[in-house]
Amino acid sequence: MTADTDDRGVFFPLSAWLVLASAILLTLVGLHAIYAGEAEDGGTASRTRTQAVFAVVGLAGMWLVTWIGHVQFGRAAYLFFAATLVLLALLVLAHKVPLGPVIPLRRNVARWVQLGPIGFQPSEYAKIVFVLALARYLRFRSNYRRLGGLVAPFVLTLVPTGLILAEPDLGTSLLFLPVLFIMLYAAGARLRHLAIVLALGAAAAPVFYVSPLMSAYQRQRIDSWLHQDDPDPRWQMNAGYQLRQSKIAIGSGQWFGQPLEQAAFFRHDMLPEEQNDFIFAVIAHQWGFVGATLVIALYLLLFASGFVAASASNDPFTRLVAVGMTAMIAVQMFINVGMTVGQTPVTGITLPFISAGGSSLVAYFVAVGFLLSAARHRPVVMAGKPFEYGGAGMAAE
Amino acid sequence: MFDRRLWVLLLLMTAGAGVTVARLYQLQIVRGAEYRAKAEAVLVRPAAEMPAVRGRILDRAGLVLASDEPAVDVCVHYGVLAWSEKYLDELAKAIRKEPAWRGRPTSEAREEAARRIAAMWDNLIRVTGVTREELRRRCEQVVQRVESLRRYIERKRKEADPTASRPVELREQRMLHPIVRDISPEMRAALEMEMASQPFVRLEPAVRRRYQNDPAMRSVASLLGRLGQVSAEQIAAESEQAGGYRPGDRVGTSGVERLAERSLRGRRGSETRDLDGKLLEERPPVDGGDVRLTIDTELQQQIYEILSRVVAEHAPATGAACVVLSLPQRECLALVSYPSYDPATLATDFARLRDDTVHLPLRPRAIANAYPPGSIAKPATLLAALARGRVTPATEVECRGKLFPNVEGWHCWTHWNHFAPHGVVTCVTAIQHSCNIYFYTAGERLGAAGLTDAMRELLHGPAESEGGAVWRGTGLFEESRGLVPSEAALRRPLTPADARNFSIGQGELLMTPLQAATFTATIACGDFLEPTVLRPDSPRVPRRFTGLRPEHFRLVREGMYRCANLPGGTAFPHLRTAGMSVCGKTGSAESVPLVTRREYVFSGGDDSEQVVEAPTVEAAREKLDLPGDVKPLRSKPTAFWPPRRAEGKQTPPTHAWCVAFAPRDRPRVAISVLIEYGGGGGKVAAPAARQVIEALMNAPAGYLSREGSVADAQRVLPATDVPPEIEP
Repeated sequence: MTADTDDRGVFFPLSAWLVLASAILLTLVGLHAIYAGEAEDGGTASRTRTQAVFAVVGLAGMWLVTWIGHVQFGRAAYLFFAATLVLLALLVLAHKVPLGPVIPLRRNVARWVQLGPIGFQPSEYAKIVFVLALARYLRFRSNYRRLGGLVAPFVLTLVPTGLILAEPDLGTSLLFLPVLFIMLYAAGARLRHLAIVLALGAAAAPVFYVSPLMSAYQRQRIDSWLHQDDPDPRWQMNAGYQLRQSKIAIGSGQWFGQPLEQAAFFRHDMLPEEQNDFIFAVIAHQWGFVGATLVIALYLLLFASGFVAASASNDPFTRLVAVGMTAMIAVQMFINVGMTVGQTPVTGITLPFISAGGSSLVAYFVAVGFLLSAARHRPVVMAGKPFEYGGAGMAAE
Repeated sequence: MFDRRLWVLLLLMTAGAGVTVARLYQLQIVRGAEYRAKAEAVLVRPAAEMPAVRGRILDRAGLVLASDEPAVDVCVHYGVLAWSEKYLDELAKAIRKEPAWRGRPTSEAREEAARRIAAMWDNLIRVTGVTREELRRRCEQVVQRVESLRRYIERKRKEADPTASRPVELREQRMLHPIVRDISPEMRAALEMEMASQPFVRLEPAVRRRYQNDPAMRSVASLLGRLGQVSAEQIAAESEQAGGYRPGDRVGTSGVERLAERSLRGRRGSETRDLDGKLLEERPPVDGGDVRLTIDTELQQQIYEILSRVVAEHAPATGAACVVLSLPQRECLALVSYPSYDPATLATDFARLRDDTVHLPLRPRAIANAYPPGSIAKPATLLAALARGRVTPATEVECRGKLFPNVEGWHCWTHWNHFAPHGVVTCVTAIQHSCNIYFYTAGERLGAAGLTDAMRELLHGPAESEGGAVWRGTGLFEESRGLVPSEAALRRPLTPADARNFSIGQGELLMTPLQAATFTATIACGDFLEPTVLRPDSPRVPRRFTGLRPEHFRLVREGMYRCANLPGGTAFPHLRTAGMSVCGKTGSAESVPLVTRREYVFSGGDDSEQVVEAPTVEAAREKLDLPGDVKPLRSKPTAFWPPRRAEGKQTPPTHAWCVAFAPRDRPRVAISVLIEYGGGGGKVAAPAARQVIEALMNAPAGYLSREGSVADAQRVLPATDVPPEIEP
């Protein structure tokens, strides 16, 4: 087994190509949707260009990660994790102590770190580092087969979750627990234990709803989500406005969508956050039911390819990294699309590869880099004997 | 196990994607059309409404009396009108954004805002000449109107949802309201210099009703009427299909503006544009149609001057009215009430005009005031008695100065004037001499009920339905229906004394000058037609009376001809006109004094009372600063017109009437003249009527063309008209 831990340079399997292809296709869909959303701004298409630049940066980051390899990163996972926690803690600290231009506090929200010309959101990278750290923690252990053994992974999850919640960034913080569950499940935790934790979580949700941890506007978002079909303007305007407009944009797409020239809906800013959190509505409006379904299918292809890559490896760390990265992308996609169509409450979370935003796009391509690296990390199969047909050794397992 | 779990995860993700796709199917396919419609709806601007131009009002000759014209209003923000602290804060915030004010404290900016508002008021007062008190009153009016609407809506909302607690904010509270309307171009230039760039005051284009600015306007002012704001009831009553009213719309509230509202207002248009400004739907406004009056303004003005002279000459006369109808179409050539007002200064003069309870300049007397007709009702009595066979053309009645030899009262009018009694009279000479005794007799023979029923038909028109005769007149809102008494109206049984009173036009019998002219037209033509002030599109068909034969009318006409042209006639020689065979009848109706001031008692809260003396209840409220809906507890008259002399019992002068038509054989016009408290009809009203007839004869439109010589007109009833045996 040790022989195949650093087999970089070996060609990529089909699953890796599929992951890469779907990610790039999704990015192109996103670029087009961003362009549609800003078509009225005198045609400068500035956000589209920025996004394209970040896509190139993301591809470079992806290549770098693949080149270095997830195994190398895995070795430093805890270090990265600690560094990320420190950054997140600094963001929380910025609420109390002014940290000047490095961590600007805008409207009582601190999400950004600004180092000279380069700015990024630590929470975007925290997601990746978290997957790496969790994969590293879980790789050889088996005590998570016991209920008590679940404590450490949960602590590993709740610390960044809490810090990001305090930024505050409810949307991103919501990712960590589902990713943990998927990774624990994949790693072989007992269903019974997971069910107990899930039940506890479900029981805690109403408590969380009334607790001071949840702010008034977050509660309002949940209320207006629950009342989304109530015609009372109390629910349709204010917090419910985005969802209402999003549903109008999606619904009016019908089968094949509305052509770009007629996308007056977006030109007149009828949908807030059209290029970020609600970009799926733009796609569904423009390409209709057919286009939206194809985009979802593209995501499924990506997830399936990610799982194939995980399945192809024998190495627990590799497997967990592949599953974790896939899960991270999948959870975001489901939450984002869910909120756009009114199936989940509105939370600020981006649609992977498609939403405008440099940090998240680069982070997703870094995640893709890990998936590619993991996909390449297959056990070396001795070449079948030449001219031997019906070879049993062709399959990975 | 790892692979199996991956399969489960993938399956779950596929299931999740399936749920999402199902939701998309629901939104895009099942409800797609609905959302499509919503998407299109949010991209459409609210329809902009385009007001229609209100139709013009033209007189008979085509002179424009009223028309819409563009104007400029000075509009001030509601926050300033209501002294809203919140609005002051907003202004202060805006001021602090100005370069000179950046960084200065809010309290200073607030003071600056207050200073700018005060400067704006000062400018407005200086430039427009409106007083500060008047401006303050207008502010209060606007605030009161908006506040009452706001309270009303709040109450309605509370009724629908008792938990609603948020205060209602109306669009009106964020709007600019017109405070000084229709400013002159000079004022506009001055104000634009002074007020540029203040957010709380703006000069806004508006449409103003412009009335012909001519001396003649005084005489048609009350007839044209006025425009006001549409009432909530009118908005509710008018369906959207008919164009609908919006709050703040102008609507005719009186006179022809109200009568012809439907033709004048037109229909508002609307245009719908999408957010890109592309025109989606356009419904152009349909401008209101012009309305052509039957009134000849020039004639109207001449008559107004005649009346003003007559009133001035005959103190204590308070006012006068004259109606001229063209025959046989009964178009009102003139409908004059004296005194009237200048519409241009109505707004500023309103309180004075309203409180002139002696001359009542705001009252269109010719249609709105009903007077006892006196002797001009006598032809009605005669016609009623002839129709019912109670008298015949040959019936003779002997007048000895009073009706009953042994009873004081029921005198002929000769008695008070110490003239010789009329002796034996027939119907023709009874009209000529206006002999009371003849008509007392005729009235008695008819009985009160028979007399009033017949009079009602003659004066108000033949009954068209079971309900009996109802006066419809021109349809003008101000019009009074007069009164032909009935037991139901008087709430007492009618007696033979009533019959005698009504037969000479006294008692409760009341008639407007318009009704008097209409009745005269009925005599002249022998049929009935309502008068009109609007030019009809096609000739109208008069209605005939059942039971009255043409010769009955011919007898009355003969009596009226003699009345005007033969010695002994009550109108002789005042009504006789050179070159015209005028028939007429005079009347001197007993009047009651006019109450000109009253003492009003209002509740002053907790048992106390406020007492104030004023000409009108509105003036009384203003004196006490009471709101417009407070009713006085009681009132008592304190002053009268004519002024009471200290000593002795006295009766006020009679109202002087004269009705006439001309020429005798093919009548072209019928007129009525009334001089309030003028005195005797023959001496006061008949000369005025003659001047009116002369004006008609001289009118370029040729309403009355000169006939042969007076001598020719002197001929007495030809033998073919009336059987010789009734010749007196």
